[in-house]
Amino acid sequence: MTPVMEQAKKETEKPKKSNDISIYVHIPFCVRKCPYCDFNSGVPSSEDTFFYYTDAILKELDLNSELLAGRKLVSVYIGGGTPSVMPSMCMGRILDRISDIIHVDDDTEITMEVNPGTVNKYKINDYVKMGINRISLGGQSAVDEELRALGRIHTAKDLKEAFDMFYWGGIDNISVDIMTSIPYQTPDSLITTLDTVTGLHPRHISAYSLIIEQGTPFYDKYMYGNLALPSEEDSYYLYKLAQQYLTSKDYKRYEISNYAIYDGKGASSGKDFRCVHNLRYWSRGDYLGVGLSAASLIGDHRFTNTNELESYVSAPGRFRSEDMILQTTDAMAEFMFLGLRKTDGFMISDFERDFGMPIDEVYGAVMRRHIDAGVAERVKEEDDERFYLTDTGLDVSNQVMCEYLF
Amino acid sequence: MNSSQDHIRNFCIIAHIDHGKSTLADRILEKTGLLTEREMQDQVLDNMDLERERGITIKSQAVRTVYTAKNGEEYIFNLIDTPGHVDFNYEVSRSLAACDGAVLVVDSSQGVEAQTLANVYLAMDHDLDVFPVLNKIDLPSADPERVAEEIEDVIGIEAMDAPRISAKAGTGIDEVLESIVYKIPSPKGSPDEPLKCLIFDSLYDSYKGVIVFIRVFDGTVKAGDRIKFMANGMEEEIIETGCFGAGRFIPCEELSAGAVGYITASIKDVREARVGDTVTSAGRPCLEALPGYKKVNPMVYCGVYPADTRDYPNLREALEKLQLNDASLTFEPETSLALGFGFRCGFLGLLHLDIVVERLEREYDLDLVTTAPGVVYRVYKTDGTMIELTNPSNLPEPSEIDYMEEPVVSAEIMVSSEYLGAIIGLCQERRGIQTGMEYLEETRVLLKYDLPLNEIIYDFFDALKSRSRGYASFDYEMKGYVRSELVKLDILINKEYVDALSFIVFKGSAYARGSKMCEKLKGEIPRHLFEIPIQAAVGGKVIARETVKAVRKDVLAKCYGGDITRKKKLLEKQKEGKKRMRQIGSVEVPKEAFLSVLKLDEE
Repeated sequence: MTPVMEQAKKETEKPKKSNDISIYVHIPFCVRKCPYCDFNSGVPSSEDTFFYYTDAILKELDLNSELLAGRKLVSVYIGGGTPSVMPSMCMGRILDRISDIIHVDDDTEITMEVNPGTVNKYKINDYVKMGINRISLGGQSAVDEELRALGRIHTAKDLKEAFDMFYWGGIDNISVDIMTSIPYQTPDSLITTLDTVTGLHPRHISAYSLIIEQGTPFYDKYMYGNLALPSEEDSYYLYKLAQQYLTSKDYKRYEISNYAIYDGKGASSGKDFRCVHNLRYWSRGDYLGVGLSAASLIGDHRFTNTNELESYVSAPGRFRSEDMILQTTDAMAEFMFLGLRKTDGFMISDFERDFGMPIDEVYGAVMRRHIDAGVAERVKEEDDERFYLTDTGLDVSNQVMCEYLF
Repeated sequence: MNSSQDHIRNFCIIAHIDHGKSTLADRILEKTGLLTEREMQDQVLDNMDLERERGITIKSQAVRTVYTAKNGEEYIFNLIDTPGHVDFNYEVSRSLAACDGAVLVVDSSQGVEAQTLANVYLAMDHDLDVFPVLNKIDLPSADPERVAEEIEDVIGIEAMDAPRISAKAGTGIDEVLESIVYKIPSPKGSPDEPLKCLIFDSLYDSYKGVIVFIRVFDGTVKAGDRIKFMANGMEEEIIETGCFGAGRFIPCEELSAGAVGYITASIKDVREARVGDTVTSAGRPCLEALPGYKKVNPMVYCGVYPADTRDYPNLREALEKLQLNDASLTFEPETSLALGFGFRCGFLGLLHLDIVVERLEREYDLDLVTTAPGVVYRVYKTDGTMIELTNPSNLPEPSEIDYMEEPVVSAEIMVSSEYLGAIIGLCQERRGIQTGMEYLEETRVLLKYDLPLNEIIYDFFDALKSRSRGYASFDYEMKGYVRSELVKLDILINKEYVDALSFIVFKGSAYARGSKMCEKLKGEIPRHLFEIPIQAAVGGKVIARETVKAVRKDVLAKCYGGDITRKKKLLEKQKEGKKRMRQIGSVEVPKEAFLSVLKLDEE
């Protein structure tokens, strides 16, 4: 460890102490598990599962009431799995409990992930009533052949119908997920998907590349050569195509894979449909995760719930797969690789604010190397400086970010 | 027990590789009752892990057993094991000098092979009595009668009454044991003459110090005696004398003329007890030393560097320790711009190199980077001087070079006539000059070639095996140096010259080798954020080029539910991958790349 790091380790007090907090609720259930998915999710054995799982979530929220009380709740994100497979009554109880414990106001962003094949008018009505104000629709593609290959339970038509139902049901802030590099995808089919999705005018679009993860049916298929994936070159082309298409419309890329309608840097007055919740992850804000395998970061305390459903339900919040106080070096590395996911990067002074030492003492050499290689830029901005990855840098972000680890 | 000289047999077993030498040795030990069958580990003599895994014998070892012959008398057998591979000729020679006779094992389906001949000639050079044994008679393809005839024809030793055995199945072993008693002469020499012993091996033991393996030719030696090493005049007092059990040392009172055993004194450095030296009595020295061995010079050199530069002192220590038991290994420090501090090491051959590197990595837990092996070239300079070049980076400027010479070996290849064409083709590709061709039988041909050593050190053996479907055997010895058109091929990665990748090559092959090398490196060097040109150049002129394309996309999927740890682990893995590489300019090069040149002929 370098002398700089020794000194950093000694810095115990942390100047940053914001009152803001976010909550993540994990719903690990699906109608059917997608063959590319390696998230902690599965098909519940019976309807009962939803109810006792909901009870467990409520218990865990209660346990954290002290931590939450009096803080400003900026966002709630209900992810999965497929949260929309739960009876809406369960979702209602969870949101009610949250608002019992901590004040929820009108500008608290409350997002729920929705699979287009799992909703109807009545459910949507319930969601709106219980305060959900943002929907993330797992569209993935608007080409049925591709959706089938991905093992999705919905069709392109379902996506359009679900979108319209939410929109006319009163939710204006809708995001749609799409994927590139999926089996059978061609530039033409991707354009079909992009045309269809942008034609719905969502406020936000996430465009991910399919990554084949070990332990999934897709991985096995891929290893046996039975998965017709686009080549590496095509994959790069598709990824770039999605980028160019979206930015040529009204969308701005604000993170590696995320696009939104917004008026520009830090616009507080104008339109800004960036996802508040995700921005908090990337700025290392406090968040509490409840539910199976949910991760939390409170100050420098990082803890993650067990990923065994039975252990979780038997004593919510007690069994953890990870529980640690981050070392300063870990926190610094996270600051860098999370901050650099954002196209705006971060302000140089924020580093010193968070860690009590100038960034150049820690990362000066690496940053310079990245600037020289054309993957990063450092520009003056008012009294401060901004550091961010260039488009090229974002394309190869893994290669760049790993160099900020110790 | 009768230990007088006529009841001692000092012998070794010689064979072509895979003809069953180690198996026969095991059977002899088993039958002589030193070990019970249950105690037998397969191949007792090969006690280094590496030897057992590869099925070859690296270091010579000795073992003493007691055999009760059919005549009712007990005989002491000192079996000295010898390595079979041509790379270890020197060690074979050491073992032979301690013996009075040799058992020649010949596979009764394959017959006489190149190393059978080489080893027999070596044994005869040492005046050993050789008798043949026909092994593997249980194989369906065995034809002991034909092979016996072949031995008589080709080697010229009596073979009709050779024991027909299967060492694997344990048949015919008794006959071998009796033959050892009757066909191998007992040692000569007088216990009353001044002490005269040959050091044929040594070993460092952390408790006993250096253990010196000796064959006593004259005189007697015991604990308390003062001895003298004739080469350097050093005197020591004997602490212990003993003989060799299976895998352990058994102390005994004394060793006298004809005996094979060991001595210990307070010797801390194996170099003091040099293998081949003569040990005599300090008070009553013998008149002249035994002939010893001709010093062998390493034939193949390569740079050995620690993957982690901080391991340099550990590498030095490990090499020093290995050298104690392996006199044929040489090393001297060298520095590479690309690899930092390391050693230029000399080896007997490529197998020797392989084994040393593997032992360094395995027994000393080192992670190493080795550069392409090369031979010793002679560079005659315009100023009339000559240098022996072991490291291509030291090649003088072209203007200073008058001409160069490369080492040539005379090789004997025995091949079934079916594959004659293919093998002649191979030898021609490798710039061989045919010096003879002889039909030993209708279907077996002995080919003689002069081949440049640098053409055979990499993969000649493999090519030979694959082109003859395993039906060719090969043996070679140094012939001398011949003048040759040689150039230094340099490699530039991202426009930077990489000294550790340079090698000397025949001018006519430079273009082909250069292109192949660039192609191989392209496959070894991971894609970076920028495009990397890889160039091969001779004398500053680029003759081949490849490009490693830049990485265009490497992003992580969805970062869900705030699970940052998982993401960090992925990045850590990526970083770990980079750490294992060598930095050349701004390019990270994996250590495997430095061996690319070895794989030039692989498809």
